[in-house]
Amino acid sequence: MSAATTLIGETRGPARRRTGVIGAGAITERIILVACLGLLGLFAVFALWPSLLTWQDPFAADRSLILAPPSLTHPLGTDEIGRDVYTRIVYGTRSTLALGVGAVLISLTLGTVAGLLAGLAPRWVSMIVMRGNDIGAAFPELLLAILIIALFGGGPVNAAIAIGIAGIPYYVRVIRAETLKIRRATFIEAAHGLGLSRTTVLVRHLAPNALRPVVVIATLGLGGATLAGAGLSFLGLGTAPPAPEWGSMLSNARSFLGLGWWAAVFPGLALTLFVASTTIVGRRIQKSLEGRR
Amino acid sequence: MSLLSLRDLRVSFGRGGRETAAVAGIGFDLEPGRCVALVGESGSGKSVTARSLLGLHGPGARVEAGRLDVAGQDARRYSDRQWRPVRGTEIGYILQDALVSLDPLRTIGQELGEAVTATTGLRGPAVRERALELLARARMPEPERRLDEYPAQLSGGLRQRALIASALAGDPGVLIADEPTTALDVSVQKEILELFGELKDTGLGLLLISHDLAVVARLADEILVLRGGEVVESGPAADVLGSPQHAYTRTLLDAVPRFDPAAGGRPVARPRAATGDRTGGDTEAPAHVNGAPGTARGNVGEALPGDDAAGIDRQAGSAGVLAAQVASGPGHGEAPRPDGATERPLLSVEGIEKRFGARPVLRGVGLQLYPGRTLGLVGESGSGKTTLSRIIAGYERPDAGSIRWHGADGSGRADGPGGARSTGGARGTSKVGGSAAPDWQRRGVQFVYQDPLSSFDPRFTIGRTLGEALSLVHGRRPRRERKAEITSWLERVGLDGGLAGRRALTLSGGQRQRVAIARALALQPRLLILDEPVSALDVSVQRQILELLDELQAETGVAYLFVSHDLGVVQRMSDDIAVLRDGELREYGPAGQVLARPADAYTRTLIDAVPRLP
Repeated sequence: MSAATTLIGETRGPARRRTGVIGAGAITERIILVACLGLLGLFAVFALWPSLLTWQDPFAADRSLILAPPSLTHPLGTDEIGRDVYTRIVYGTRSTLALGVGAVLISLTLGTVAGLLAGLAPRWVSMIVMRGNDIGAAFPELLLAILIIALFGGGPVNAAIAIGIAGIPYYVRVIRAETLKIRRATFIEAAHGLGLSRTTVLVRHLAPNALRPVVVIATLGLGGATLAGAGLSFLGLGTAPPAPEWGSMLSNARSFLGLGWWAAVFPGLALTLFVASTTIVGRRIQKSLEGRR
Repeated sequence: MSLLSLRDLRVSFGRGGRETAAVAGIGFDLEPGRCVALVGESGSGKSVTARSLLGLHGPGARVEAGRLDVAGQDARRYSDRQWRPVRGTEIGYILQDALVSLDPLRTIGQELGEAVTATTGLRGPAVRERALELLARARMPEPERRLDEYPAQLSGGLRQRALIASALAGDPGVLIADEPTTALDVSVQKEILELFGELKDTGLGLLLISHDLAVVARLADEILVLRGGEVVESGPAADVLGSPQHAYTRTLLDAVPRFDPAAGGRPVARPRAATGDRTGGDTEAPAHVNGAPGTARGNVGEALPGDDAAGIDRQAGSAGVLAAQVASGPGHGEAPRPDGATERPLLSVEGIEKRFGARPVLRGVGLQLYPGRTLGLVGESGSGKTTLSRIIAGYERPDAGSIRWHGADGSGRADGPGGARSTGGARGTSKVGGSAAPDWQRRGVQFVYQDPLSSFDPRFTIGRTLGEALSLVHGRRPRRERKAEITSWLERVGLDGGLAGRRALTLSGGQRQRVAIARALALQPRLLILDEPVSALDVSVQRQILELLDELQAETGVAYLFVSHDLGVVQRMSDDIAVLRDGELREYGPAGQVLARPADAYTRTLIDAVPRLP
């Protein structure tokens, strides 16, 4: 028997990524992530400073250029009364995203408070909160939002409130589950054991740990809320024409799909890209948070 | 012919410049009816070796060997397809954790049936018959009934037997057992080891993997001591255990607390100087051991500048007095005195009753804790030892009985049921709205958990974790003072002050436990409850922690309630010992007496079951 050793096996697998060599899959993933972040940045510029990236007026109608196809002067074409589609998308970003962001802030605030309450309060309080929550969750989000608008009237502010309220149940569920998990954790017991007051333990240890998933669910929820807002505007319940807004642009243009597809497709594409980007970025944050512990 | 023959096994992970060797040149032969043991601490490569013998090296591994013969066949070039029949029919493999290795949704019969079909091709009613045979071979009591039971219905020992039965399904010549008894109680451990002995006698070749030399001592014919993937010493078991040649083997042997009932209680007289022997298996950052207890106390005094709070002075002073009392007082072998005649107990527990639902967990337990002394609380899983320690800590309330605290003032305040400190409260623990714990319990009693990591807020750094505890004692203070004190506490438990900025997740198990001890003692408790504080640690680290606890007790005069299932460790630490079984106090007295002349039959069973080095 020779003393030479024989290579028995060598496996290549996920371990490579851990050791720092990035596989082909990881590179694609990274490119997509960077692209999504870039898109979100672009939308942010659109929303905050629309005149920076377009020189035209979103309301200026050129009667001679009704439903003109994309060209050098109108890169995404014109709509049914001759307004530049690209400029209207840029100016529409603010009102479209404002609906989504506003709605998320409302669901986030109320959902977090209710979720913490349901996780910490005595059983009967928790029961009331959660059964109410179940009723809310039983309605499709958009339907619930329409119901609220039917009661209190339309308009962008009411639309954001309606979508925000309709989105609460999901936040409550996640935060409550996390709170229940954390409050049973050994380090919470240990904190009590040190002699910290209940308020200190709650504020310093319990709540911050229970709220960790908030960033993820808010990012993931932003896409959905924005979509719902555009949906309401599409139905004429949110931002009303002639103010530029992606949903209402889609709504107007759909009657002329056969004559000028661009007037409907590009606002729709903007919406799709925004929702997809928030989802991908949100998943990424989720992954890195999970990896940490 | 050897069942298994291995030469120069090398396993490495990673590639290019980042390659790390997990195993570097291990070899042995396994003959029928013999037992080879691989012994080493975590990271020694023992489990990687076992998996390589089954062709189960994980992703990213590079495996080489000079020889790997399984049943006379060269297995080095086996493809995964060729390995499959080897697993189960040539080599049976028993995974590390008996308690979680069985599918909770399938009965034992289904689990075994799958193994039988996979290895023998049997189908139909023959499978069940074979499964019964296997259970009988694994000495499963009432095998017929077990076939239709789920893992959750079985105790840890019975689950281990079921796993052994399924490893035997293909009638393999070799059985590999990776830490087969680590999660089990000592009495169960003894039974399982006896079963392995019987299997060995029937001609099976046994490869036993363990961190514990004492466990291996009973069975092994040959022992390989591994460290960092290399064999540091190998040879016949009697030689390795009897006259170890390598320093590391000696360190391992010394680190195992020698359990010797005849030797009586705690072997070291206190207060004692710190031992300088910290070479060898010290896998942690070098421990800075404080000198003689007196100087150490002086250091701490210096480290607490704004220490003008009267309470602290009083406490430090009284601790000194108490330590002196202990030192000059009655010898350590003497009986605890429930009446407190010569020495007043710090805390006495009387008639504690507790039930969870209908199940009684504690039935009239009473004991005393004395300043500067250690009470070892021994019992197997389900004995109620953790519940009792949680009641004393105030995490749970007793249904009946009282805990009497004789603090420095000697007032002897009594607390009946109802004085539990409010925790965020899981089911069964104290109520959320419960009244706050009495002051003595809140500050005077601290708790150290088996898993220190879970007891730290994951968002906090080590410094912040310690700082939080310190701010409870001193209130808000300038940043610099706080930082200095955090550093001094880290150094006091043998850690580098630079660790303050790290998170617990990045520390080793031993370092984490040191931080937990520092946090608990920073509150200057009179009683420290240690719940299995070293059970999850490697033996050499375990030894360091036990020494640290000794030193800190000598310095501060704190009382320890040391909860453990490990009689060796308990003997090493305890002045008094209490034995719990099914919620009843079976034996309670000075360590020497309990171990050398146990009055209760159960205590004798426990003592007999402890694996011992020859």
